[in-house]
Formats: sequence, structure tokens, C-alpha cells
Amino acid sequence: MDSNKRYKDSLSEDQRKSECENIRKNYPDKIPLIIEKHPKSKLEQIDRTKFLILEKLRVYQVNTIIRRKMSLNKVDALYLFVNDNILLRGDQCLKDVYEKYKDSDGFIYLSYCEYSSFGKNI
Amino acid sequence: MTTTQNCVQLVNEDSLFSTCKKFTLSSAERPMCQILGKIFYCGEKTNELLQEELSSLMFFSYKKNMKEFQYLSTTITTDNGWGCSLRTSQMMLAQGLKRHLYEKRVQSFIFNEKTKLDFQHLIMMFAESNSLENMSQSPFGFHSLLTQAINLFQVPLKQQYTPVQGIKALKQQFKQQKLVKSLKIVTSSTGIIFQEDIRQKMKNWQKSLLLILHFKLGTGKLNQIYVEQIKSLMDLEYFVGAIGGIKNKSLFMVGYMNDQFLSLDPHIQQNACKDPLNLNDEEMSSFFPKKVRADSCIKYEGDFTISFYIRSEKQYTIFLQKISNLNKQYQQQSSENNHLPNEFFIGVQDSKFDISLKFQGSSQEQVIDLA
Repeated sequence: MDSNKRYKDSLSEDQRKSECENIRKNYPDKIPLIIEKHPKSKLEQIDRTKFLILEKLRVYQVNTIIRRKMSLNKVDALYLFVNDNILLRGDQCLKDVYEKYKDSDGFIYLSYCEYSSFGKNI
Repeated sequence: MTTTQNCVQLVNEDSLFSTCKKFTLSSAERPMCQILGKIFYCGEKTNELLQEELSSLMFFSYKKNMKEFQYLSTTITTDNGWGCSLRTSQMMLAQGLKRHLYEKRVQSFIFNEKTKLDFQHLIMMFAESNSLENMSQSPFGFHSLLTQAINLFQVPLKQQYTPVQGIKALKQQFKQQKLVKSLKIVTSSTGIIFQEDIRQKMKNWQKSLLLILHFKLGTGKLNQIYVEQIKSLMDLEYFVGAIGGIKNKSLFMVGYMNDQFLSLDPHIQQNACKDPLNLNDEEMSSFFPKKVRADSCIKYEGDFTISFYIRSEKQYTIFLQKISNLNKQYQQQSSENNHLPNEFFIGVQDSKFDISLKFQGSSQEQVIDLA
């Protein structure tokens, strides 16, 4: 798959829907997430985009899972957004986030991004 | 660089004490503005007070003709074009220190003949100085700060920094200095104030707290749903400034006026001071703002750092209470409006969650990677 192509664009809505339904049937207590690098982020791409995570986990823990998949300096902050523009606060429960923001295909779409630097490179 | 349209002229270039009347609040469109937790309502007397308040803010801009950097093999003499995040970080710490050291009884600490010595003392800590003995007097000066930042992050010279890195470098410098011992800096980028964490760090609250929180409120531009939240935090009396940005310029935000944020812009080049221990009036004046920018919230980027100064445990309790109230108020609003996010962007929690993911059962049961 083209690394710049986002999951949502790679499959039709029906395909995504049926895939999600299958997953939900087998794992009712887990949330199906699509986690991708935000196009503007300079961070590395993690090795997969689809995740199934226990619904009682917090956003903070999802953050840790992603950090482990890349070599990120301890100082550098990593932020998780839902639908590319709403920041997820660390103590929010995945289940609540899913209820509010799940897509019509049943997945929830998260993107990760770092704090930007200001100034110009000379 | 900056369009005059967005700027409000504050002080005549030639005189440190003169104020100019251009920054005025007119009752019709600008009934009030908020500067570092202080409200200014429209009125003739207010404009004078506002003028004083703004022209007594600490300001650090790009400098040229800086002395050589003794510990870095470089010939650079200016930070023009790449040092803005470090400059805004300096402003944040300076504002915190100003409140910590000098605003104990009086609400405001205004620059005048009486307070000149105190301001000199404060400026000295942030002045550019390259000799070893002066560096211990100026632990937050640009030379010390850049040396620390390069040491910490190993980035090449002239590289742009993030405010997160700028604050981290200043925090490290703060740990190593001996001038101010009664303050503790705590930073976080999780968006949550962990009470247990603060308890551990503050011990018996013999020191005061400068709490600095980093956020990204939108992947590109600032997501406008956060503007009201930011304003309500700026209303708190504990607010000592924020760092935001427009395009690739880092700005030090001091407050707001209607739907504009007011900020100090470090993107002007001034001459560096020659000897921090012996500042003349002209050099002094380079550490005070001549202009305050007023830009619409829409122009800001999502990267956002906010700081609060909390003097004592008692104040801390009130601060937490206020944050919790903001959270409650917000939740009410968001339950009525489906477009708003679930949560206020700062939360309060008692203890850290188990981030090791060691729950009952194997980790396979927690997270399943679907290829």
C-alpha cells in the first residue's frame, strides 16, 4: 500500500463497513481504530494502521502504544487527534471517545502529530 | 516584518518612560481586555494603567552583534530567523519570575524610577553574556540557553527549536542556577494535571510553582472550538503568559481583546547589550516591548503552551478548584452542543494511570494489531 495513501481512501465504504462488522462480532469489548500519521507530521510512519484496543483503556495508553512503535525522544510530545483536528485528552476513556467520534464505517480515525517548531531553517 | 495594522504602538522609541495613547479601549468595540490575568475595562484611567502594564512586560527579541559563543565553535552573532522559540520561552520564564519575585503584594509591578533596580536585576538574568562569570549571573541569557539547548538536543546551530525544547532547556538551566531557589518549574504535555505528581515534586510547598503545559490544539491552524477555553484560562489570575504561533513565527501571548489575542513579537532585531552588569538606558529599553500585536484567533497555529504561576499550596487548591469548575461548566456546554469536544483540554486527575499496560491478562488481550 502506498505509504501516503490513507486507509479511508484505500477501500470503499462498504468494504470498510463489512470489515469492521466482522471485527466487532469477534471482539465486542475492543475498539477498532485506524491510527495514522498526520500528513503534516514529520514523525516516522508506524508499521501498521489498524488496531484493536480494549475499550476500557485510556487515550494516554494508546499514546504509549504508538510511542513504542517509533524511536521518539523522551522530550518530544506526541499528540493524538480524532478526525485530524480534535485533540484527545489523555485521561479520556476509549469507549467514550468511540461513542462520540466513531465514523459511519464503524472505525474511529486517529492521527498522531508532534509539536511544531517555529522559525525558518537557514 | 510585522504589519503596523496589527500592532499597537506602546512606547516612543526614544524614551523608556513615555507612554503613547494609541493603545486605547473604546467602549463600543473593545469593552475590555485581559492581560496576564488582569482585566482592563474601558475608561480613561484604564488606558493609562493598561499602558503601564503593557510597557512593563518583559520582552526578548532577536539580537544582533552578540558576543562570541565561547563554548560553541561558531562565528554567529545573531539569532535572527531561528531563535524565536527560545526568545518566547525566555519571555515565559521572565514573566513567571517577575511575578514570583516582585508581585507579592502589589497587583502590578510597573517600571518606574523606584522599581528600576529590581527590573535591572531581573533583566540581568536574561541578558546576553558570554563570559563564565557573567553566565552564572545570566543563567537564562541567550548564550547560556543556546549552549544548554544544543547540549540537550544535539541539533545543529541555527536550527529552529520548538517551544517544548526551549522550555526544557530553560528548565535545565533553572535547575543549575543559584539565583532563585524558591521556585519550581513543572512541565507536562499530557494535558492532565496529575495531583500525585505535583505533590511529589512540591513536597511541602516550600517553593512556589511555575506550571507549564504544552498542547497541540489542532493539527494545522488552531481549532476554533478551543478559543473560548483558552480565553477562560487566560482569565485566571494565575496565568503568566502563553506561547503560540502564526505561520512559522513564535509569539508570546499575554492576553486577549475580544476575538484577538494580544502578543509580543520577538521578530525584530535589536542590538545585544555589551555588559549585562552595566546596562545603560538604551540597552534596558531593548528588554521592554514597544509594540503589542493584536491578531485574530483564526490566524494562530494549533501549537500552544500555557503557563500558570502558583505561589502556595493554598493557591494551588483554589487553582485546581477553578480548573475543575471550568471542566464542569464545559461539560454542560458540550452536552448541549454536539460540535464541541467531550472535554476541556486541561484535566485534573489524582494519580498517574498505569502506563505500563500491565493489566490482568496478557498484553495480547489489551491490544491486537491487525496487519
